[in-house]
Amino acid sequence: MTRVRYFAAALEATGLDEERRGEQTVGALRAGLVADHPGLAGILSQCAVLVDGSRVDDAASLADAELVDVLPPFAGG
Amino acid sequence: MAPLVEPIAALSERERLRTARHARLPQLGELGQRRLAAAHVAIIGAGGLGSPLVLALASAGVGTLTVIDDDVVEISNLHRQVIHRLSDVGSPKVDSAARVAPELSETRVVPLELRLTPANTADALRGAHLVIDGSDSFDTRAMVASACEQLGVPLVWGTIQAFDAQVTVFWSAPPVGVAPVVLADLHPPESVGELPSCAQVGVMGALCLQVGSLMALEAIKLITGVGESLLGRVLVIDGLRATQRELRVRPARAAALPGAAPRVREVGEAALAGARVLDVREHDEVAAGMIPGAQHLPLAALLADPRAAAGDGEQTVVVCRTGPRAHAAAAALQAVGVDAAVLAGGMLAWDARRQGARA
Repeated sequence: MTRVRYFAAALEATGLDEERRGEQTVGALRAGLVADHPGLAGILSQCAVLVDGSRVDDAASLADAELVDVLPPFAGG
Repeated sequence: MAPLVEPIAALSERERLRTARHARLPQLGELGQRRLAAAHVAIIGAGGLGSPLVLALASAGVGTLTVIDDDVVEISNLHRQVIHRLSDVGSPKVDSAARVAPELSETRVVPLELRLTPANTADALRGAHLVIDGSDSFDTRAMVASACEQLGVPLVWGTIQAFDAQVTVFWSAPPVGVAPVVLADLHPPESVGELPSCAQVGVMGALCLQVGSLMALEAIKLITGVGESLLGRVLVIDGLRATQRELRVRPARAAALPGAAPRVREVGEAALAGARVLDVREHDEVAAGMIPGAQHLPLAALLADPRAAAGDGEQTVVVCRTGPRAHAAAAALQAVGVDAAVLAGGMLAWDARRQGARA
């Protein structure tokens, strides 16, 4: 299981600070997140999805991943 | 990390007295204060984040602040942009920075009333030891990050939306032994798309002061070499819940993995001949003119149905104002099999070349 944390608008969309997920790849995680949290559908493609700190390809395995962070970009100043 | 700036020989007597409580801090000391006095910091934006940055860094005794903003003060700025006064409405924002700093310290402010473009950003930032981005658009942030990577200077980066904020440090050329982290490792400009502005979603004024203050502290730490910088970490602040969480950020691994999405190519004007040109800016932006023969389709409409924008599969060059939206559009077109590239520098560079040709 991988710990997934949500920030800012992703937190609002899921209603969760974090949860544990069992998907085995980043691509499967993305699909699973949108299925379980429809509010993420519009923003997930913009979000940084960091696997133990790194952006990775959808094919990347989550087998050894401890932490996934989902952070939307914003640009206000 | 080692200090970024060599100290000046001596502080003036007044600066020595004024900054005595800094000198009292064992980590900083009088030596750290002399480093601050020698430092040249460029601040992008004299708005919600730039205002507290100017106050904090001028009172900290930073030697030179280049403050870059091409905007004028509006009355709706005043709930958060704390260097401007009611009487400043209609005046250039950088003028407020130039007024407030000499009232605080011996800091020299260089006001640059300038709209940053791909062509002028690196020149505007050259000479600064460190850059701080408090601008209000991702287009600008992409240009500033790119220029900092080119110059090898650290970039203190903060952004705010509604009650939420992010603060981090990017640096393409940190000291040996420290991993470089750049904007694209967190938010690659081509993935960001359209973001709401403060005018659209609102922004909590008091949070701007907190975030600007944190950014100023990161700058002071890098200049003087004290503490642990946010390079490789992002602070995410939730102002409503009064929580602050930390994310780790490391160089992206995507490019090294098999099967990674192909990167979108950037092409020059020569590639326009014989290609379909697609302008993905908004309606109000194209009113001032497009590349001759270009088709217009705003980014949101294209992303909603990339197949409908695929055309006959001919080579397509996408353009926006500076590049980020065109990258997002080209990536979506590539995903449906279109040979799509991005016009380097966008319409800003296109227009600049036209103006250059006329001059």
